[in-house]
Amino acid sequence: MVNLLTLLVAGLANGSLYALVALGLVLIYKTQDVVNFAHGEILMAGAFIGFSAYTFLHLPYGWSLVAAVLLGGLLGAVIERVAFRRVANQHHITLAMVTVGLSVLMKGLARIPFGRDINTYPPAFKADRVVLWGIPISPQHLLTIAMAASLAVALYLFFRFTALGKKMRATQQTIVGAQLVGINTGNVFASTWALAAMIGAAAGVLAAPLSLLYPDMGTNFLLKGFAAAVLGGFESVPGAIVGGFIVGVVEMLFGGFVSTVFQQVSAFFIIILVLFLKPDGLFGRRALARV
Amino acid sequence: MKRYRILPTSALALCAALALMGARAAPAAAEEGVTADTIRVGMFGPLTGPVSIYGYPINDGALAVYKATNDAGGINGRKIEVIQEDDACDPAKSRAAVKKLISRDHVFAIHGGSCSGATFATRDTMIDEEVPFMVMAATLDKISLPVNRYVYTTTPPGTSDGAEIVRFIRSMPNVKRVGIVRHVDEWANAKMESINASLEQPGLTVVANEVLDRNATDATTQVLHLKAAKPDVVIFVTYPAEGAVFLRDARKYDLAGPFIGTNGVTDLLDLAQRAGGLNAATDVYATAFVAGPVGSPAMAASTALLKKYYPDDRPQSVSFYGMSGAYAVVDALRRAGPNLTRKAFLDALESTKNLPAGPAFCKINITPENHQGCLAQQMWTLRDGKIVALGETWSPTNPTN
Repeated sequence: MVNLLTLLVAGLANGSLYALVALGLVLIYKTQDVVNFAHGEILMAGAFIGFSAYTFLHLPYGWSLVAAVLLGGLLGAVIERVAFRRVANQHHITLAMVTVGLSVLMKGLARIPFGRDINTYPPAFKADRVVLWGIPISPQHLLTIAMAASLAVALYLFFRFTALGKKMRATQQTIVGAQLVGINTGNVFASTWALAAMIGAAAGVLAAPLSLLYPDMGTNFLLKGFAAAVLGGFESVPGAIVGGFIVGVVEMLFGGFVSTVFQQVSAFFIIILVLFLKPDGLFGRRALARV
Repeated sequence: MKRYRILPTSALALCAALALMGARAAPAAAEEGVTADTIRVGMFGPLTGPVSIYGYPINDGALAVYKATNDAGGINGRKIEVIQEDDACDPAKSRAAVKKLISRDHVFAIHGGSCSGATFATRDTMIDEEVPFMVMAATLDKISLPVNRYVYTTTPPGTSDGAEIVRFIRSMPNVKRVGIVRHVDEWANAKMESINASLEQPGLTVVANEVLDRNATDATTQVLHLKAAKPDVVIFVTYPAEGAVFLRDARKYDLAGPFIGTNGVTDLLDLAQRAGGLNAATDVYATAFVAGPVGSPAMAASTALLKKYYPDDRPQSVSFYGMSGAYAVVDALRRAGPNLTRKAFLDALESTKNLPAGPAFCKINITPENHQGCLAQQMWTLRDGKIVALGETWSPTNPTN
């Protein structure tokens, strides 16, 4: 019983990171109809920004997280303005290829200063673990779960009640319609990229103490986040969160009770199964066209 | 008409001149990649991609040896010119890199290959093209076995590493139940082959055998399975980052050691730091084929050499993995004499005897029947925050045990 609870808690902890990555993917996809294959590298960039602030500027963990989130947001806005604005109306495959190029570029750039070693980013708390109801859990995992839950609520409120959030929703529904009512869709795109990158950077700082820092650290998280987004429905913010938690828990339970041999791919089997039964994902809605 | 008579005469004269020029140039251009003042050596390794973290340090160590050789006057009047190619740890790219080095750069020999799969993919090309090949740091046995005239290594192969681990475990008192956590790739499989074979002998039983994927960031399930199996000792055949993840979670869920790692995690202090501190690396052992920990007197000369040519490189054990092969190449080039040919070089390599291997623990011995030049390793552990060498076996009389 303790093992089951231990696996569930570990699955939720890992799943919260996948959920944060999935959130970033979903935001971009909802707005620009493109899967951002560079999102893992945005996570990596956020982790290295936080690491640099912590190591070279000697900022405490909390402030290095803030620095990573702010600079990550700036990075996202710059990427949108420089790499996407001019090709925004191209076919989505073209846009996807731009993100693949960005991914390669960002990893290559990161290797120049950080490519010769595996770096260590200390966790937010000094304690190795706390024991809750007999289950050991690291404070870093607790922080990650809390951050994922808080961000999900904050995003819900943001989209529901703020002017920018409403403009983003309008642009997501129809770009032409949004432009007709006077929304500056360029600013909306930049804001969306900034928001997605801020979430990705936060995920990077939270993940780095668990995964260690190296230029390719984002690839694995991108795969799991992608799986979570697909499972959740790819256009649904709550779906991304739930999908992330499910992927995290499924791979833990599979490794715990079936075999560790296929643990990493177990989540993908579940996704295939779910999509077979519900092709639009758990929270996705089938697109209807009036004719 | 007169014009036509001149033509054959001129042609004959031209041919004779060319033949003379060719004859005069022959000694310097007698062998591919060798000129009057240079010997061109090809090098390849993972300079991009996830494994470039190890690619640069390993190649830089070998390059430092070649640069020092050149600064000391070269070999028989010739300087070593190294041409480096990236294989990104990808078999297709390693084959392309080697073909480019051979057919476009016309190298005399190749010293390279740090990824087992990517390096093995080049073996047939080296043999077909008859290019001398010194493996840099890849450990897959079938790269250097069966013995071939053109392929050599001075890095202990995977089976040797695995056998060393089990020999050490057998020398530990009261150890009967063995748990294993491992990757599934060419590198790990080579080590597991000999570990499994050695564990089949009576006296030890495998009670858990868990897979940990590359780039795993969590080892909860593996640790819980091992803990339930109650092993007396745990072997972890993982790369450094995943090894740190495993030890971190072992500590988190109270899985006790001893933990025995491969020479992939020789840098125990780095491993401890990545796992969360020295407490996470308590009772951790690892095989090592370098003579001593980084910073120890045994490594002082090699460290100084590395820092001289690569001052920005942080010395770590992998920084020295390519040096022993470079010393073997330099020694054989020197003994091959001024009329350098591939045959003379290969003959010299095959007669390497008790050659000091720089930072490596062994002496290099190569014969026509054995091209694996270094097989000796030792076991390291951490005591009071420092790496100490235990020798090849656990011993109660060893003061460090």
